[in-house]
Amino acid sequence: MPDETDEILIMAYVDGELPPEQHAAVERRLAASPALKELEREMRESREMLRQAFAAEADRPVPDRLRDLVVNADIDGKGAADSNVVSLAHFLKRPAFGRIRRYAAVAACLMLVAGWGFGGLLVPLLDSGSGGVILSAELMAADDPNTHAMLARTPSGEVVPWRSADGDASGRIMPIATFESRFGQYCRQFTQEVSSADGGTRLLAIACRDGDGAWSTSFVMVTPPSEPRNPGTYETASGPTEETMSKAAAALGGESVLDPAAERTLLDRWSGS
Amino acid sequence: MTDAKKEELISLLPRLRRFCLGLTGSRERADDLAQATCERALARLDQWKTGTRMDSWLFTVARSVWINDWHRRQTRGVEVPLDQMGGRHASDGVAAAEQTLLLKRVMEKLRDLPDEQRQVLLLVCVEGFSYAEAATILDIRVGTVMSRLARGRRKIQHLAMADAGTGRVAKIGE
Repeated sequence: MPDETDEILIMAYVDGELPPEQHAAVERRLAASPALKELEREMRESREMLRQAFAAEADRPVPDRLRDLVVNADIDGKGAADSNVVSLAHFLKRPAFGRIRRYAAVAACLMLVAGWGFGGLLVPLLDSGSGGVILSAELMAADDPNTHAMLARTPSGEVVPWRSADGDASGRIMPIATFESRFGQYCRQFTQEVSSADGGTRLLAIACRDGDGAWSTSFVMVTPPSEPRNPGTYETASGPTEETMSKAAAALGGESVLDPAAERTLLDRWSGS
Repeated sequence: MTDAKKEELISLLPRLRRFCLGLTGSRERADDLAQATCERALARLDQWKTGTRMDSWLFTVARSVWINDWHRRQTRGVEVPLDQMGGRHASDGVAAAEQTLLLKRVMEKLRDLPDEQRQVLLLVCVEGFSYAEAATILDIRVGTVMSRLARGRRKIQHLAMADAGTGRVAKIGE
């Protein structure tokens, strides 16, 4: 009776994976053994059955939605924001977000203060009506080098795909506004969907940039991944989360929001430096 | 350069969807997985090295999305709606019906295999990757590819023979 070694050898023979001399050797053994010959037939049949079953699948027309996702993708970090916004709604509906949605219903507003410089300033704000302070690897997404790189070049309102520097998480970022902080830094308020092995979540955060180009994330909140009513635009103060965010921005001096032209000039300067 | 990458990715979408169908066992979930794969692939397109095979790379991404983000959320039991498993030529009724039936039966068998065997079967027998390519995509040794492939094929074959024994002959051959 053929053993597992024979089985693998015959399979590799059928699949054309053997070097010529071994191939010839198997052919000689096959001629002498009906049991191996039967094994060969089974290996051919199983492969052919699978190939044939799925053969027509590659001829099926690709849905426009999927095709457009690639066609309109913003793979240079600029332009094509519209297609990304359309896809954002779908992104939020995906099963990956089911868990966090349930979770969010229990704890509508959890917060984390990162960035030691502003922690003392923001903690008093958070004590009013917050659900508590949490730390999680997922939230570190807001403090990821790639997040900061995106913030340095993406205009407010534009959604861009994002992937963490260590490759473990991915998602999307949309800067919401740019403002000059009372400490003389430029800060950016942004929202970020994060999908990782542990699940998915949506963050609202503020990161500020030092004069030497180093970013630090000053404020992060986990929010329910609700769908934006107007994709691509940000609704201010529409709930407790956004209200707290507004307070945090105000504490940093966020009332002086840059207009698009001033922001563009700033981003150009950053990308040139 | 950029457009060439996109064009190549678009040309691979039909095969990506097919692979996703085999993994998920449902058209709806396959399209969601294909979309999530594209999103991730586009976000890390710079990681694909020009001059290497994009199909291997794309399947690596798909498999990673499936393993990391999807599979653990999946409840057991994959539905295979027969009516939606259409064949190649809508006008050729008999051929389409046979194709539909074969796909349904094979997907039922795949459903009963461990995920690791199913992945190897799809990559080698359906997508035509070599053992070495499959090993790269799955990040396992070639020897592991071979043992999983042999076990998977044996089971598929036994299930097909069981079908034949009950009069449900899976049509094999050209």
